[in-house]
Amino acid sequence: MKSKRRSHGSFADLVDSAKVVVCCGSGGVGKTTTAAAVAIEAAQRGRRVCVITIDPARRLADALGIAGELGNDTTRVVLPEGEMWATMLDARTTFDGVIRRHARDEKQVDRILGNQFYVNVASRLSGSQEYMAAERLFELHNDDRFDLIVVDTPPSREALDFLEAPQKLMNFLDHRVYRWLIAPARGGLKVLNIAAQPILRTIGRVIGADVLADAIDFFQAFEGIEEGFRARAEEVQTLLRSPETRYVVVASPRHDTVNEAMYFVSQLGRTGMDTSAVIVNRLQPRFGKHSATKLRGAIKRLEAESPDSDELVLHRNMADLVAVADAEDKSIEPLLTFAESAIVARVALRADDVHDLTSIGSIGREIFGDR
Amino acid sequence: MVAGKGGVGKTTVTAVLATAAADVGLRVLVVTLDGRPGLAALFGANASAGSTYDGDIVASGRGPGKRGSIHLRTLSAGEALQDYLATQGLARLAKRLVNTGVVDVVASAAPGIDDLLVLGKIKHLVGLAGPDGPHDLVIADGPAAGHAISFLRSPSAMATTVRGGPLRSQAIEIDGMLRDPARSRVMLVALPETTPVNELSETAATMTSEVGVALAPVVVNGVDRAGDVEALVAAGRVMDDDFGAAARFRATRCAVHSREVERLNSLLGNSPIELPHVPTAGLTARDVERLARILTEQVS
Repeated sequence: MKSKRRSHGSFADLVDSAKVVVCCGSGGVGKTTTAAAVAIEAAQRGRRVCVITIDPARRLADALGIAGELGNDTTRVVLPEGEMWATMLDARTTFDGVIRRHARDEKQVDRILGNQFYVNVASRLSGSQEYMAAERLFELHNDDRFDLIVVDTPPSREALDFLEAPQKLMNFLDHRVYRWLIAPARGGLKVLNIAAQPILRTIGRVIGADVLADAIDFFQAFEGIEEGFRARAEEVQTLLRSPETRYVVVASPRHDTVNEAMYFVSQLGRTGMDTSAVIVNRLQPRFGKHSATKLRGAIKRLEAESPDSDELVLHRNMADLVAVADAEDKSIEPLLTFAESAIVARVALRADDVHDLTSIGSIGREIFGDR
Repeated sequence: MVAGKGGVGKTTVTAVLATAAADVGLRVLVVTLDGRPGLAALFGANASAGSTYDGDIVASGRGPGKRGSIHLRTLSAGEALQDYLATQGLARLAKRLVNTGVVDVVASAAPGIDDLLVLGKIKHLVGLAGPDGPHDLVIADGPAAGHAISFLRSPSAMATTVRGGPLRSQAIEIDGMLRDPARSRVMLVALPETTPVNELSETAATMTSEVGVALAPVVVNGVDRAGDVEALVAAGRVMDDDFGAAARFRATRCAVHSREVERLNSLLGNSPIELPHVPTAGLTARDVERLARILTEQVS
């Protein structure tokens, strides 16, 4: 199936000119595989690519050679031609790196990294994973070894979860909460805010006083880091909004995921971001050009004339597949109209699992429109 | 509680299960945790303006004695936490708590507290179930992708970290409900493909051994079976034309599906419930009804 070319260029132009490609979309649409496929194709076009994957299924991680990797190592992916690397996002290690970079001294690093509240923030606070994906993207973007970074994003129903993660995390770590909990008293000594006390007592009763003490200790330890942290978050934010960063929305042809993809496109648009491309994955392939109406007629005739024939079985099978393909075309139509300025790629459903570099590569060729 | 990774049809299975239950005369309360729009449409009800439900009736007068019905209710983790803080004497400050980010601080200080509170609400609803209560069965469309394990583990985790107080006793009670197969079961959903089957069997093992919940039969969604087409291809009775290519494609997919259902069967040690592939791009209420009948046949 050929990728449909519009007047807006092609995937080849996109990966040749972009510095960053962000693949977004809801869970279960094949985003991770798609990101890998785009990276492979870009590498074969001569770009030095690194793909950041988020929680890949084991067989995909195996295919990329990153299964069981810990930390933030980039691993060379062996391709017949081109230079490609892959890495798995380790949000915690990335967060630790951010703290190390901005801290005054080792003591402050130890105090923060050893704090249980920090551990929870780094691993569980909503938005942390998104921000660390963006942070990692920024680091690799500044790494001379790579020309292009392709990033898979954490599964989400909100495109803004990724785009606004730096801001969101900044707000969380910002003075506001802290200032509210801890007010500076005369003489520069910090004491617990009296106005906040009943709340602190209640919160302490709910979650435990020691847990609360950890939180307060964390905010105290974090003091002095915010400035560097904020400056970095702004740089990351700027990269996410730069014209060198392109957004690719990945969808499947099902009604619900099409709606979610449209929501992504509109959210991107609202923040001034264009959706450069839409990839519709797992489309029922067509075998020739057979219309549902004609097939129905033929099936009726065969049912009357030769009800036990192979022909009838084959026609019914074709009718089933055409019904799905027709329904899918209808289902994705609003998305294609809505994202009218985007490049559109259609990827056919594979009869079997996609789990090695060869099959991922075949998806890449389909996205780029040359088989 | 219906659980599974993104894209496997968790919401479909929730709708099918609820319909099947209403058709045997049960009054069902469907609880959705992520406010997925379109759930009401799967029951043939007009899609309400928003994507959140507050006990909306989407089916009634079903099954024996026309007693069966389906209600929808949305529960959100953020709201559960706010509500809880409000009941703890912070009602006046609830709004300010959100605006200042204190709610986020609490959720980070005690990870899983929001999950625990949602489970607390579910437990409350389960407690109301019975002949004299407002419903007979609660079906929860589980949390989004991958979170099911940490979600269900939140009570036991909380019971170990929090030393005393109302939260701890609540955590222990909820954990008790989750471990009691008479009160709650987790229904895992997968697609008949290699990666989803691998992930499901890992999740099933963790659920039973580490989380300690009882599993309902596993559901495999979208299974394509076309024995007649497979037989033709196997016998070499297809040509090199479009029809032959279509038949080979279908036969390959069917073979993958039967292989994966079989593999799941041997991994789990019992046969999963199979819901057939529906040739469409989105299920209608009529499809859900048909799938509900198929589910009922396999369970009885």
